Amino acid sequence: MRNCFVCFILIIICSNFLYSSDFFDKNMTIKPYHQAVNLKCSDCHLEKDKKDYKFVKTEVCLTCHVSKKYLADRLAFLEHKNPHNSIHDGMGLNCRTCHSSHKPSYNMCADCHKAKNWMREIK
Amino acid sequence: MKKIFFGILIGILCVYLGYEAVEKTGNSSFCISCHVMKPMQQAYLNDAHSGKNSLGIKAECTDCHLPHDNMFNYLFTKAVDGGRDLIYTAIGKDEKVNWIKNLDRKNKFVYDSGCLKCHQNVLSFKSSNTKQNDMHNRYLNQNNLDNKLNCISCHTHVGHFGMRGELNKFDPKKYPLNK
Repeated sequence: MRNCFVCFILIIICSNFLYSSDFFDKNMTIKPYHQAVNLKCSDCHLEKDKKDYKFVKTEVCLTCHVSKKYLADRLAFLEHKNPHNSIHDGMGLNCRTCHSSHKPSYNMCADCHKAKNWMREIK
Repeated sequence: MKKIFFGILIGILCVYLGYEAVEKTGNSSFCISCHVMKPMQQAYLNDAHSGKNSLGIKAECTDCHLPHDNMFNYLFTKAVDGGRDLIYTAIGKDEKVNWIKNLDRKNKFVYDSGCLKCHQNVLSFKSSNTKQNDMHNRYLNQNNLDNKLNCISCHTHVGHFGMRGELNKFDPKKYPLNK
């Protein structure tokens, strides 16, 4: 019983590390495709002071990435498996639900589906 | 006198044949006559550059995939690229080219001088999207930037819309959706 309790505590501690802010890249390095076009922090984070930086809103992403419709159309070949126009959420998701710039992105489809069979690793 | 006349005639003939050769090998129907170009053609037809736009303006393959900074560079690149494509097709190596991997070096196949030949006002045009203006200004003053910017650096899917899907339809084994 005691071992079980210790294991339980360890799992809680480990998962806390995994999902806590420590999992973020502390240097706030951006992904290679954003580095390639010389993006600066202030290109995405509109707050004046770095201390006030928050999660980037979808509208800000779309100033470069055009529109949700455009992104959905570009992956239209995936038909009902199109993550940008899914049968569950349509075009309603926010970019940051799956895409992250300072940590590995998260494939929400893979929570329930074998998405790796038909989807590339998310950038 | 006869020799001079003959020389002029041969000169005119050479210029005419050269012009015809460049013209005939410079339109999209010539490029897509190769089997491996079918997905690129279909993705092009899905894109605004095929004429699918409110103005109906259309770009040919050579408008984007050859340099337009000067005539010699245009003809030289056309000869080198065309010669390589011809040899690849003749020996069957064209089937082995992986076009998804080639997308990683797309800046080698698309020339800014081609884009700017049509989009002449794009760098002076002030958009309501301030980010667009900002990025175009960076493009103009890029000496201090870490990485060189080309048009294709940001406009990554321009010219061929949904190309990954078209390649998958063309050869699902070679171009699986999850790679």
